[in-house]
Amino acid sequence: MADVITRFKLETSQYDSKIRSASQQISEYAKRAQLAGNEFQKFTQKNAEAARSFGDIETSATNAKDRLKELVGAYNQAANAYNQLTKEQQQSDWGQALSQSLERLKVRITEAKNELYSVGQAEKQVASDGSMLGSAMDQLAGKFGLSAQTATALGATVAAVTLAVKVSKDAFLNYESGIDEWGRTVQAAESAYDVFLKTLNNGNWSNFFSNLQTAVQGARDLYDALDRLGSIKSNNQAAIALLQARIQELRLMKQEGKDVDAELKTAADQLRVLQSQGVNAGMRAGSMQVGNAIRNAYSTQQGASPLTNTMLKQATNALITRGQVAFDEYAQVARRLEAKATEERVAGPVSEFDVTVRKERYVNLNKLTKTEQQQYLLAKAITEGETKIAEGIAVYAQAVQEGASMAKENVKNNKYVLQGAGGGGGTGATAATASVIPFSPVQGSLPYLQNQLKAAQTLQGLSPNIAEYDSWAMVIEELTRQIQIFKGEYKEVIAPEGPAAGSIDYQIQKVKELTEAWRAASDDSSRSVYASQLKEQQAILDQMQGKNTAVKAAEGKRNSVGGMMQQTVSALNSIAGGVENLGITIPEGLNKMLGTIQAVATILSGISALVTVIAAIQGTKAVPVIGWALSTGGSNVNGRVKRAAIGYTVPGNYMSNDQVPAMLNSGETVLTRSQTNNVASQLSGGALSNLRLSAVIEGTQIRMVLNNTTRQMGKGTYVTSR
Amino acid sequence: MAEMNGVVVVSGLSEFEEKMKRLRTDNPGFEKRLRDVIRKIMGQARANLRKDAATGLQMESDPRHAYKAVRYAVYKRLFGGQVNILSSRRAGAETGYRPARTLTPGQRGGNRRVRNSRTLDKYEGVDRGFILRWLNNGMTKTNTRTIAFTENSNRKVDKWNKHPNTGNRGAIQARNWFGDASQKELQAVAGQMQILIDKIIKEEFV
Repeated sequence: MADVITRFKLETSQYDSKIRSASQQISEYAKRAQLAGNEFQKFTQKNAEAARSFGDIETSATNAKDRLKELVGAYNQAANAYNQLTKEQQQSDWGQALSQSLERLKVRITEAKNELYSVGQAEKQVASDGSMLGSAMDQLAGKFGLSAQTATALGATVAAVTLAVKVSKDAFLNYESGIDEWGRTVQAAESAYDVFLKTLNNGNWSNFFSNLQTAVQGARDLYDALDRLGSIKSNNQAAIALLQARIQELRLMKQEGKDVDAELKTAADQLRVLQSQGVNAGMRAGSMQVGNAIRNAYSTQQGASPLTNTMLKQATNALITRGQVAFDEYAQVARRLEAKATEERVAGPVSEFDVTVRKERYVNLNKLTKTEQQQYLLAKAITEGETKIAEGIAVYAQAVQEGASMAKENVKNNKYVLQGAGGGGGTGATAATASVIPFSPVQGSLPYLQNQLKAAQTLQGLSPNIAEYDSWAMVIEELTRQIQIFKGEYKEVIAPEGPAAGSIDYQIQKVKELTEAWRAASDDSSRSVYASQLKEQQAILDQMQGKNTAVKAAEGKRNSVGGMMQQTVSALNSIAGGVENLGITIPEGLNKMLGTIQAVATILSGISALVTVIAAIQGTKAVPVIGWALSTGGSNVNGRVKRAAIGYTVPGNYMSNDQVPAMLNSGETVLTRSQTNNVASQLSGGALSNLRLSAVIEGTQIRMVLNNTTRQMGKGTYVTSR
Repeated sequence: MAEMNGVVVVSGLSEFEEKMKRLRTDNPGFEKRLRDVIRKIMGQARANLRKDAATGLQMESDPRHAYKAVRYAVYKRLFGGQVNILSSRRAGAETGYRPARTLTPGQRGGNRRVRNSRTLDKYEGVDRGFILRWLNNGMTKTNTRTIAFTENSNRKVDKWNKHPNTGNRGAIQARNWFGDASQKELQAVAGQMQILIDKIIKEEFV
């Protein structure tokens, strides 16, 4: 009997279980975090003080741009924290103090913006006057920490405006660089969200953050490559048209019997150079786009081992050069290996309409060898990511087509030149010298400077006397310096001086001097004076080194996994939050994307919060349940006991003989080293290894199920028919 | 989350938890939105199948609009639905000719139609799926061999020349149209559904 009814069922059991599991994980983390938070409660007062002083935070920046950047970063961090607090927390002393600090930071940011705005106005005035090195330019140079020469080498006006625009968000979309930055941001956000969704689908969270970073970087690079392609195409248009017109003109002249072979050849060469720029940029952008698509699709799959550059290049090359044949081959590989690895398992009854047991087919990668696994995942990534790959191939193909037409034109021009070589010259010499378009680099650009350097070196060799030789040497030195600046290789050579007062080096030197003086002292009285001084200075040095170690540990922590995640979060946060906080009006069309970024940032910040807590605990720099007494420098040479009510970990390497005294009150607990480690591991609770589960939050799992549905439709798995 | 001078404050987890709850399928709001999506795409599938019926079934003419008999349903307890040509219920207004049942002057009898007339009118408009199922499933070659007697009939039956109602009624080739067409349509709309659900999740989560 033919079918008269077709059923459709959306399988959500996996989705539900994953959501529940993620919720449980989050709750568990919340409990642990709460435990850790309870331990910190005794520092409420200290928190409030810290929050209050946050508004007056000192910046390390030496110019207006960096100052504004730091202030905005601090504001974003604190504002995010404040917004995520509960109402009770916001009304606590700490919350109120943080709120006041935020207000103060706002005022300071406004001031910094005004300062930058005034700089921008001054710069515009300079541009309208046509003077590149006017007084306002000097002002700019001072504000941005650039020397006037550096600014000139970088293209003065544009560079200054670019630097200003990057932080002066009001003008974000009014300048070319701002638009570029926004384009990069959107491209990166799209890519980040793409990786996020793919990871959700595939459930492979092990490399999520590194994949995210790679994808974001890849997307930004891709944007730059595409932008360069666009720039080259638009900027070279006029030059190419002029050259083509000139070539036509020269051909006519040649037909009239004039000797214009050399000029024709030169013009043809120049045309080839201009056209090849566009072709090369297009090929690069196309291959980069294909590579990005493959890498993103591959690396987010479950069980994917790292994809080497060689493999990526091979795949990209195969797809670009062999097209659909390569796609088909990859599809065949995917099908073959999938068939090899596919197994069946019982997955319960289909529905209330059918009591038969449903068997589910799934791919068991363990049935494949490691090489086969890699082949399968790569082939699958390519097959499923065909649309995105095809976009890259289209860019590449267009570039190749342009290259082919360029080559054809070039051959034609050369042929034309050769036809006339040695014959038909005539009287064209004077006419030909008329107007071959000059093809010299733009003044101030790197090729220009390099040409200048070559010329100066030549002229130096031709110098008739030593004085002129020396003057050329100075010119060469200056040009070399400017080229190095251009390439970013220049380093200012500063004459070595003594260490700055108050630094550790200064203190070490002081201690050394005192030690030598003590040794050199002839009598006991002067020796005892030196000894007391030495003791004091040594104590100061020990204290400074202790502080320094703490700072380094904090930096190390930021560079650790937690720090890396936090950097990722702050990068995404700065995309979403930083722009709005500064009052920038975002175009309507981009709001949606911004919302997406915020979603990703929220998820990541949730994870990052936990990671930060755990990292802090594991660092044991501020575990409050353990009260330690501290002797200076980790030893008890002075017999002094440091008060450590806020908790401390004893530095140094004194593992025996109980060298460190402790001052304790009733109710406080001293834990052994092993117990401390246990507490830390208990608090962290393997959270880092389970982190991948916690992040499975979004219901895009449905998407996976739907994919299965789509794929297996007709096999009777989800859609049955009678 | 913030970190200042070594003090760590954790927050935002409750909000995160709330978002997770919103994304569960037992959440009434989310459940409703999912069913709405299913209803929407099943409606699309039905519309496409109706269009397909007009051509896929190779009907020369369809004056009684049998193509409208494609129906869909959305399940209440499961996330899913079905398309069918069962049409056990009324599927639209009745069509077809219905003679006036008034008696002419001098005519005897009540206002009652004979059984055959009722049968002939019955499927049209009441079970349009009958036509679709008939064409979809086909029929074997049929001969009406039984002799149609009525209780009061005294007509003599010629055994060589049978009753005028007997004879070869022909056969209909089974189109087997619905199975493939419906699965193809559901595959197509599943892609749409994927996009719609993705959108919902984004909206709910953000």
